Amino acid sequence: MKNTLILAILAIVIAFGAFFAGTFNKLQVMDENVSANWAQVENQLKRRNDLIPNFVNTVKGYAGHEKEVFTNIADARAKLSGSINSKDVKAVQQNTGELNSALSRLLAIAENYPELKADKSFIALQDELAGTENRIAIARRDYNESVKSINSLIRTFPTAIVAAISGVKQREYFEITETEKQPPKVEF
Amino acid sequence: MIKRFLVLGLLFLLTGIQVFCLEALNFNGFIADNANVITPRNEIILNQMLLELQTKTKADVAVVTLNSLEGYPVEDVSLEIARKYKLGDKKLNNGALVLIVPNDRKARIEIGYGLEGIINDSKAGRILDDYMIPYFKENAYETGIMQGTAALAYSIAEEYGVKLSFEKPQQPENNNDADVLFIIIIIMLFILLNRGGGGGIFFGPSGGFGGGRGSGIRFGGGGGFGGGGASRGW
Repeated sequence: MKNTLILAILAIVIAFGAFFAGTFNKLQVMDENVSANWAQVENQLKRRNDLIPNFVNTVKGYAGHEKEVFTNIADARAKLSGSINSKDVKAVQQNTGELNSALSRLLAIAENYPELKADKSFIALQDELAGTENRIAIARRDYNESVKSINSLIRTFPTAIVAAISGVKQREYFEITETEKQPPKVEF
Repeated sequence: MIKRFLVLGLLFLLTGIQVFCLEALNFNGFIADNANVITPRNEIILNQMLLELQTKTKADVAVVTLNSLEGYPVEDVSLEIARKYKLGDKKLNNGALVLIVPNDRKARIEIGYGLEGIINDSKAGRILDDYMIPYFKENAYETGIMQGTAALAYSIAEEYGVKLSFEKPQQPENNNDADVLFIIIIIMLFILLNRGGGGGIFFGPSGGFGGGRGSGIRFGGGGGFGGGGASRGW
């Protein structure tokens, strides 16, 4: 009788230990995955930041007097590169929104200059920019999906217990507000 | 009763997994021609070309035509296809997808991580502008697809430092010349293929595409795509 009781308790302890270890490892992997996806978002945002000066200079060659737009872009770009290194999702989110709207204004201006639109280097830079926008969108989606899967695991029983013990926290979504959802893209 | 629940559950599961309700793709070798714009003869040529590229560089270039985008952005659809079929070598992730949707007048070249250095976005855009869109505007989809895909394959091979046994495609600045050249390329390819294939490409499996079905071809299992490439409408 005593023996079976001990065995039963032992079995429960082992089962719980196995569950804990398995869940713990799974959460760690998922958390790392979220971080990796976030790094990818930042990479692509940086890549776009690197592209912008070239792009702006090309537009300047044809539309040099549109000074306000250029200043806005320079400001927004500087702010974003500051927040990228701070690892603050909220700040990156807000500054990305600002840069997006400044860029879409620049592209709207470009529409008024047929010679600019026919410029080979402008077309090439526009492709690079559109491609980077697309990469940002995809990196953002991949990041949000990984956040969703870890957050739902952390919020549900019984994994919630393991998460609380091991200190894995919910992650933040990277959202772009409704008005800026349309990436500044130009149809040919 | 239980059976019915099981079926319902299964259906629910299936619809849950499928995010996109895309038309089913039936790959013949590297090509899934849902819009039916490529003749079987050119499919064989194109497959042969892309198989040579795959053999020499491990790079997968898939060609897909669709009837409709079902309202989705072309970028989302091409990414979905490229990731789902895991184009490119598993380690190198050097896949690329040429997607053409004639009814929606949209085309995209999607570039995998491993090829982004070789075919950057502006180069993908140039291939579309120079080799494909001029033909698409005149509804010559097949020619545009053949030229554009060949240009893409040629660029990849060039960067990998290998030679492909077909001619470098010419930009269609002078339409008549390009057409004549294209016909010459096709004839040359036929001669080459017929000589090399043992029994000729239409007969027997020795040519690799016997009977016109490239069932022996498999994509490399990569699928690492992050949105590189370029899109065009016309």
